Amino acid sequence: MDVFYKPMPRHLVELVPGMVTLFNVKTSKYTYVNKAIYKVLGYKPHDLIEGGSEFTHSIVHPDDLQFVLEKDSEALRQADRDKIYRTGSDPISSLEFRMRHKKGHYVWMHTDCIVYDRDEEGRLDHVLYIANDISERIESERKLRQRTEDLVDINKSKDEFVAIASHQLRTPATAVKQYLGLLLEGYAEPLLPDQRSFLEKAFESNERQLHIVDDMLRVAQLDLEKMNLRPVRTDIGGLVKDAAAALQGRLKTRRQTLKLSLPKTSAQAKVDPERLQMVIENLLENASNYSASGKEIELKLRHTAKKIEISVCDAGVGINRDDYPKLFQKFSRIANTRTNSVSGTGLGLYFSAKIVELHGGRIKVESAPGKGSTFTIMLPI
Amino acid sequence: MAKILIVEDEKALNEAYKLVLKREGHDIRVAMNGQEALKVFEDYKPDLMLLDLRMPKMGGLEVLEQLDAAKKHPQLKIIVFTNYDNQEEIDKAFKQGATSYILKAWSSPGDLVRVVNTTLKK
Repeated sequence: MDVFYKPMPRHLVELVPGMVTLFNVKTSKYTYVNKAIYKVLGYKPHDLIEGGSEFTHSIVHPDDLQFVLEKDSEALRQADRDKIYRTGSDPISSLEFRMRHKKGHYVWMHTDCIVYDRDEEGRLDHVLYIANDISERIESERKLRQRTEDLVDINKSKDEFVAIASHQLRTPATAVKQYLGLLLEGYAEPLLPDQRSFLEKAFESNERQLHIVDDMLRVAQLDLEKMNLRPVRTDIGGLVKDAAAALQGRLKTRRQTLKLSLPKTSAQAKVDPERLQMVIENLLENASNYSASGKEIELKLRHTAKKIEISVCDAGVGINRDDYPKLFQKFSRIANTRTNSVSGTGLGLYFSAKIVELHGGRIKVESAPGKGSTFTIMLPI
Repeated sequence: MAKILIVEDEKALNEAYKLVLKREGHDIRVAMNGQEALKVFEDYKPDLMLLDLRMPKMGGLEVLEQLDAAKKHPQLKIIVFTNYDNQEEIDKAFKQGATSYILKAWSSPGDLVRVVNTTLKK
């Protein structure tokens, strides 16, 4: 067997910033240590050469020592048994652990162990330990982790705030609704035409306010992962029809027509009917909002043995491709001069996408600016 | 005419409900929370209870539990007040004897009257 031996170009090794040590496996002594040890650990090369592995083990952080000893001896044993020639670029172990600086503080080290040479029988003779100070990296990773945790906490308390605030807002808004209702439903004196019309306007605003509160609550619940689906076996055709029926009134006021296309065979799937219907209604509502009055909206259901597709197709203003990613973000409203009048919370699509995702599906968007858009709910069965 | 107990912590709401149900000719008592409801219930013995699920001190579910409504008061009609977002609570309330529910934010006084009258006829 070839014996691997190549003298180290020491003048170069002295220049590298990391610690390089040549270690005799049989005697557990260091035969060479470069000057970088001063900078990294505050010791002299002589300290290691004198003290051997006993010395290095004594300055490994006590919490890391067992792990380092286990991993190191396992790697050496394995490399010794292998008797395989390995090049210097292929470490037999790479470990990260803390070592105590001469001044007392700990330094995070990344240490690669590389086979240096073997004896005539191919047994391990020397290995190189190449060690670099990675304290900065570890610290920035720790800071990043901490920062992420902080942000998660802040976000959670914000979600909780939204949930509580919405609840609080709903109660007075509900009371306003009752009293407007009392007036409009004739529980007080008969109303003059102007009084009725003013009250109806107040009623509409109150309804919108309640819608916003509900949307905010739904989203806060989704974000807090408090929303659990309640899946039951559902006739999707019936669900699509229900959603269409719920939107009839709104479409009528905007003089828009709805074309409903259902398959001949019934489509059954396990879904949360209430929430999925909300999603379909939301897509229909958007289609109506972003289409001129008098236009047609198509609601189509298709299915195969494996998937269900519910698409809402409008001939409305359309969406620029650049705006696609913004569509499903919270509170995002795409700027569009023609649709400045559209009211909403900017939460509908965010909510819809989340609900569909919880069903294991996704919402696909196809659109041509000026021609219209198609939103397709794709659900696995 | 029926004896109706309204259990709702929001004064503006229970006053509105009281007003419309009185107009219908019903006899009304109001409790502001669950504990009060249990006290009133004993001597009032209502035919129907309108019960808010979320209240301070004691919520609606606990009232139903304490009364053991499903077993001990099978004649009592129970309508719970709720919002769309607590479906699980509605399910629990139904298991404990509730017969209908009203989404407060989405019902007008007229809606309430209709639900009450239909429930009483059942």
